[in-house]
Amino acid sequence: MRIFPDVSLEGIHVDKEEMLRYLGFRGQELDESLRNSINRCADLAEQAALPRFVTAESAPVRLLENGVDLDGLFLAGEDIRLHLGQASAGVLMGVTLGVQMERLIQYHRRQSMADAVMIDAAATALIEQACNRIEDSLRKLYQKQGLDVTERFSCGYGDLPLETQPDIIRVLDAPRAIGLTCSSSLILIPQKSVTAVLGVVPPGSYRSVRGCQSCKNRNHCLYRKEGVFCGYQGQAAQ
Amino acid sequence: MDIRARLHNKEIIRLDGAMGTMLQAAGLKLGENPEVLNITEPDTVHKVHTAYFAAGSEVVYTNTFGANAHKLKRTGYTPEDVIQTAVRIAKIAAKPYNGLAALDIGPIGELLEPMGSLKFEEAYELFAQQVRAGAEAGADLIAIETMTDLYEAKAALLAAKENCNLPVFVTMTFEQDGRTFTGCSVPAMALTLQGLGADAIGINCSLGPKQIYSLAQTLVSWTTLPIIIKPNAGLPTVKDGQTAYDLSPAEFGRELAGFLDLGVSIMGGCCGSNPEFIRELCRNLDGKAPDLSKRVEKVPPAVCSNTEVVPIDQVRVIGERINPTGKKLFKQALLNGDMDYIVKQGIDQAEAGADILDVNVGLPSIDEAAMMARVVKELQGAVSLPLQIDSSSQAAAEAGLRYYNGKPILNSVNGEEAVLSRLLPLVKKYGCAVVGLTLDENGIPKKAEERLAIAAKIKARALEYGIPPEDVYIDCLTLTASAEQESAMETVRAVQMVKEQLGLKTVLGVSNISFGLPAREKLNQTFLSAAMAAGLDLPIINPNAAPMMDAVSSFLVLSNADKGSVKYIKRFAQEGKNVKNTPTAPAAGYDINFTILHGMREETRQLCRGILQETAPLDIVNKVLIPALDEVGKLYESGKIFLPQLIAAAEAAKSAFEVIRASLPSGDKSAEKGPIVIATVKGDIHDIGKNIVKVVLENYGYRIIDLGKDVPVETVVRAVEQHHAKLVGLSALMTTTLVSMEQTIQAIRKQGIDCKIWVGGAVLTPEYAQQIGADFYAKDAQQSVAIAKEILG
Repeated sequence: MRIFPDVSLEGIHVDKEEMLRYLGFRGQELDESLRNSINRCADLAEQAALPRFVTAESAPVRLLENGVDLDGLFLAGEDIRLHLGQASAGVLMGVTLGVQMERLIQYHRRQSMADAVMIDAAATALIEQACNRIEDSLRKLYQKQGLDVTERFSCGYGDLPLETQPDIIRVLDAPRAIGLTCSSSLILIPQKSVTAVLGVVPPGSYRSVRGCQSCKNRNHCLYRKEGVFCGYQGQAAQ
Repeated sequence: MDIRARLHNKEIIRLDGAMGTMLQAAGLKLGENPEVLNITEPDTVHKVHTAYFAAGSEVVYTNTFGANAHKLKRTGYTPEDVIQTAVRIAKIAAKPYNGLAALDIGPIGELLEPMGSLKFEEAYELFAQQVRAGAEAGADLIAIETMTDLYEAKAALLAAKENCNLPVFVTMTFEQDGRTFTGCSVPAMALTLQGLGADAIGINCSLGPKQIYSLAQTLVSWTTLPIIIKPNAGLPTVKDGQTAYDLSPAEFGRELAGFLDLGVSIMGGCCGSNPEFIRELCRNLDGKAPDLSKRVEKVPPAVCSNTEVVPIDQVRVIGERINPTGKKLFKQALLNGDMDYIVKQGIDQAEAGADILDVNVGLPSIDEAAMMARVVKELQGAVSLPLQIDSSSQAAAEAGLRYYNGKPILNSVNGEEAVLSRLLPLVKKYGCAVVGLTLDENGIPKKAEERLAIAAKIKARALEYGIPPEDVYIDCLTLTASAEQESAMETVRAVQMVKEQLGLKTVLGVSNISFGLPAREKLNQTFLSAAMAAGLDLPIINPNAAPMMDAVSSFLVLSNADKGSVKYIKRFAQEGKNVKNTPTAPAAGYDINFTILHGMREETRQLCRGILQETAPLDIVNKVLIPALDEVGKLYESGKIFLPQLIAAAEAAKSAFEVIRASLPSGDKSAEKGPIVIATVKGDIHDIGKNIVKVVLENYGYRIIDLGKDVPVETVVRAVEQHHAKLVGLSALMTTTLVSMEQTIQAIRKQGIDCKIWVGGAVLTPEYAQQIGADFYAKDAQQSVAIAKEILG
């Protein structure tokens, strides 16, 4: 069942610190022209973003030996089983910034690859912010009913396979609802998009599974290799 | 029911309402394939159709929205199984009501290239399979619906037109801002789909009738076809814990019937509607007729990409720079398949103010049709301007028209009978505009009157093929003033006569006028002004030449097209500022190491020009640029600078390389090493890492053959062989595409090619690289340089 949390994705702004983190920034000196470029690229990404989302509640949750059955949607793995262990229902979400972000990046990379890389990072910061807003609004929605939601959990986190992606897209009717599709090699298109599963749980009953252990990039993270936490909740710098 | 006659007269045709909504009410779960029910529960589907017919529908859509081979893959059924059953069910339901069954075709569910990885040809094949199955089973018409990508709609429409003779409806889904998810606007849809031969077009799903009304108002002024509106039952909300739509059947029927006032004639319902909604709709339509006086008689003259419509209602500039004639670097780019260079030519012209881009990729040694298809696809992924497909090869012309996402121009036909009968059918089929050159078997006539006669012939022949006059643009041909001085004003006179006497739009390649004379731009500018005053609509010029754009900008003021001189003022106010800010000489105190390190492209270029006065080109490369880049590389590796700075430095160095390359005699490749073939592997479309590697490597003087993203295994193997590359770089960003990387490596090895392969990408590790047979693993662009140095020096 589609649900409509009270949230607007209009006017989302690029968190510059986060954008810089995606670019591998570690406190280097930024001269004025680079600062200007960072601001300009963040503006371009903000202007091009057409964020849209779709959310749906699915119940019942049935814990199986090798994963979870969410009203016919099978989610494999121990991690999602832990994540939804206390859940009475699941919430699926899909978010995208739209395909014009790709066009913007393809346009700028022919003029300046440096700009393209910065726009790309700015867009990643934007989609994360959109996800956070949606997650917060879902939490509020369920808190009103005396419930709570877990943090979001995406395909590729922990042992939840990427192969689940097309099923989530289908259940959300995401192509029709927000123009979000999944390619045959399991890439979300538009690229600046996220799908995730949250559990509807009794208040205070879930434990966070975030951090490096749930990150799909944990074996390749540049920060982690240096013994530093990226600060980002969900996916590390590549 | 004679559907064609009803369509021709724009009589009311009553469609059905939602299928999915009805099946869900009957117990279908979210995410289940509704199409499988045709086979497992035919009665349920039959009941839905019957209920709609009983409510007043004259046409029902078969339960085949997702019946394509991709979506059915995991169900164990083929499109043929599902479609033939579905059509049979609908026909049985239609019989007692004398109704019709439309084969419903929805989107494939994957985005097409270049944003996605589904090829246009693959999409076409999937649709063709559905069309053939539906036609064979006796469908009465084809209904392509809920499209959000104009490119996909085009693939589906072509598949329908080329595989059956049934009438074809096409509707797309728009958001409140008047665009689809992929950015297609209502006018762009109308121009493209009417051109391609749809029998009726319109809007379905997306919104309720109230929100669609203003979109329909736009639509009626851009098409002469019957219009279909099949909205949702309002906007979605949650009612009693269930998704619901906010209109009652009575409200829906009343609001939708209001579309008759716009001349809309074909109506039904989409998500959330049921037979009650259709009954109310039919009740409101009873005894009424669409107000056809609101419909336009002609489509406004215009061309478009999927996102941008360019009406030919004032002077519009066609940029001429995507053309190898007389351009060393462009020819080289075609030979190397360097799409970035070619797309950059398009972007530069767009920035300079071009409205349309001419695309000519003819070079004797290449497969022009394949190149045209590739360039058109690449361009439309980055530039939103409409294209003019320019080729004398029929195969290349057709490739360009077929793969274009929008309504392009074909350049060109002429008065020769053989040319007309060969190319006009293509113009008709693909619904493009066409340039007609005023020459024929006897060459270019001297007098304007004779050129007018050829133009008249082209217009008449076009009409015979069903090509409307507003899509015929006449080129009265510019002759070189140094050779045929007397004919310069004949051309201008011919432009005026074609405009006035034939009422056709005119196009003219301008620069040819000054060939062989000094100060060419002055002559070009004056000739352009004269031609515009005579009525030239579409000058083909170099938009990067400021005097030409100055003339156009001025003329738009004088012709009262640039209202309030707004654009003129903006252009010249800006220019004044730019002049002040552009340093005429490199700022004192900067040396080239500094400018490269700080990513100062223009300054680096100028400094390089200065150094070139005293230093041999190769010495600059080896003693200045490479050491500077090595220094940048060290700073990056030690964490003193980060990624954007590394790339900006590489791009600054690249501008110096361009100066050096341009200073070398043609064919001198001494500053060049390589080549290196690079590609993002099949299935993967994350190309950012590969592109960074490309920029950095180019600046060490390596020639890069960049095959792009989502590159098939065979393409890599062929390129490595063809270019005798000693080094190949492959990138993949997903665990799911590492398989393609391994396959690509295996295929290169199997071919016995003597080359080294290095790999990179977020999910790779040195161990895994070794395991799949790569020679090297690079964690970043800088390591790629080290590998290239080791292998190629």
